[in-house]
Amino acid sequence: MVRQLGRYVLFTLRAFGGMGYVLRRPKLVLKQVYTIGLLSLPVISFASIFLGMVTALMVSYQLESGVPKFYVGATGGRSLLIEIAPLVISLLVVARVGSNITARIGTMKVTEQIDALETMGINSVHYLALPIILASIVVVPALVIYSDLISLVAAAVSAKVIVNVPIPQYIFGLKRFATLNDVLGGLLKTPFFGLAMGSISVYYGFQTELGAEGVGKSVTASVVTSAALIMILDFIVAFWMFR
Amino acid sequence: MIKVSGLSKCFSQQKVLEGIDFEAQDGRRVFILGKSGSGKTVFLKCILGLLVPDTGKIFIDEMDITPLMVKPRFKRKLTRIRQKIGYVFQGSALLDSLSVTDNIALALDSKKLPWEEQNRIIDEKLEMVGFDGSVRRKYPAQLSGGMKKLVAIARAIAAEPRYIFYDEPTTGLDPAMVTRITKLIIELSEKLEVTSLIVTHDMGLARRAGQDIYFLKNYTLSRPRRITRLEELYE
Repeated sequence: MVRQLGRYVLFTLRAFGGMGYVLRRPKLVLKQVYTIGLLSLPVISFASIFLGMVTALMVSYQLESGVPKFYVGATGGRSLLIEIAPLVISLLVVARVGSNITARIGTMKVTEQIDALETMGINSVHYLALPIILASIVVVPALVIYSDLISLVAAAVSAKVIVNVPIPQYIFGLKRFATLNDVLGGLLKTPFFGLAMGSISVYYGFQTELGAEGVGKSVTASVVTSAALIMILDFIVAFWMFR
Repeated sequence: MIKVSGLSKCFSQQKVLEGIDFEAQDGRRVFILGKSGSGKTVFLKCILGLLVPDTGKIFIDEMDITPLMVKPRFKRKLTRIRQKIGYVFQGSALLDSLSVTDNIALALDSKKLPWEEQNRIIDEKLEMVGFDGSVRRKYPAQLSGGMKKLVAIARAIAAEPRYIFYDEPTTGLDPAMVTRITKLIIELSEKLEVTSLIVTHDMGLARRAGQDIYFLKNYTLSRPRRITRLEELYE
C-alpha cells in the first residue's frame, strides 16, 4: 500500500516534469479537453437534470408543513452547489472518463505502443499522462459549473411542477441563503478531484500487465481508487471550509 | 557496432537469458532464431533498454549503455542512443489514435523539423515500403496486418537510424507479404546501409536474408555451422 502510494506520487511528479514538452505542444491538451470535457456533456446534462429534480423533491419532502416554501430553494440549492453537484459529477467523470483513460493506456501498454514511443525517444509519461492530468484539472471544474447551472434550473422547474413552489420563491431562497463561500466551497475542491481522477487513471494504465485481464484489473483498481480519493478529498475540504 | 557481453535476465526466478555474448558488425543482417518463448524479444528489449538486464554489458557504437538504463538522470542520454535504432514491433505497435502520417511523424518529433520537411520524409519513407499517398490518412484499424507491418517499417526508418531491429517481422502474414517484407529487409539494409537485427522463428526468412545467424536455445546464443541444418536446432 505504502509502496504503491510512493510509486503513484513519483509517477505524478515525473509527469509534471514534462510541462515544458506539453506547453510546446498545446494540441495534446486540447485533444484531451475535447475527449474528457465536450464528449461528457450529454451524460453530465442528463445527470444534472435528474440531480436537480430529485434534490428539490427530497428537500420538499423533508420540510414539514408550515415551513416557508423558499426553503426548498435555500436548502436544495445550497446542497447542490456545495456538495451534490461537485461530488456526483466528479464520480460520474471517473466512471465515464477515468475508466476509459485507464483502459486506453493499459491497452497501449500491453500492445507495446508505449514501448514504441520510448524507442522513438518520446517520454511516454510526458506525452500521454501529463496532457490528460492537465486537461482533467481544467475540465472537471468546468463540468461542475455547467452541472450547477443545469441542476439549479432543473430543481427550480421541478419544484414548481412537482411540489408547487413558485420559481420566484425558489430563487429568493437561493439568493437569500447561498453565499459566495458555498459556491467557492463547491468549486474549490474540483481541480483536486480532476487531479486525482486524471493522475490515478493514467497511473493504473501505465501499471497494466498481462493482456486483457490485466487491463480489466487496472480499470477496476483505477475507478475504485479514484472514487475513494475523491471522497476523502471531499471530506477534507468540507472540514476545512464548513467546520 | 552492437556488442553484448555476459547478458543475463530473469523474471521472478524464471531464467530467460544467461551469459549471452553477441556481436553485430556494421551493415550486416544478423538473425537470431529461436522457438517461441525462448527469450528473443527479451534480448532485443534489453539492447534497447526497455528491459534492464540483471547482469552483463551492452555496447552500442562502443558506448556502454547499461548504466544509462538504471539511473533516471541518464534518461536523456539513453533516449539519444535509442534514436539510433528503429524498432519494428511484432504487433506493429502503431498508435491506434493516430493516422499513418501522425504515426510516422512521431518518429521525427525530436528532430523539430518544419512540417513541409516532415511531409517530404513521410512521403519518401512510405514510398520506400511501397505505399502511395492514399494510405496517409488511414488509421491503424483500417489497415491489414501486412500493411500495418509496412507502416511500422516506414516509421522505424523515418528518423534514419543506424540500426533497425525487427521483432518477428513475418509472423502471421500471408506468403506474398512474407516475400515482400523479406525483400524489403534486404533492400533497406543495402540502400540505407544500416545494421539489421532480426529475431524470428521463420527459418525461410533467415535463409533468404540472413548474413549472420545465431540460435537462441537454453538461455544462450550459439552460431550454427551450416545454415542448411537449422531445422535440427529446433529438435
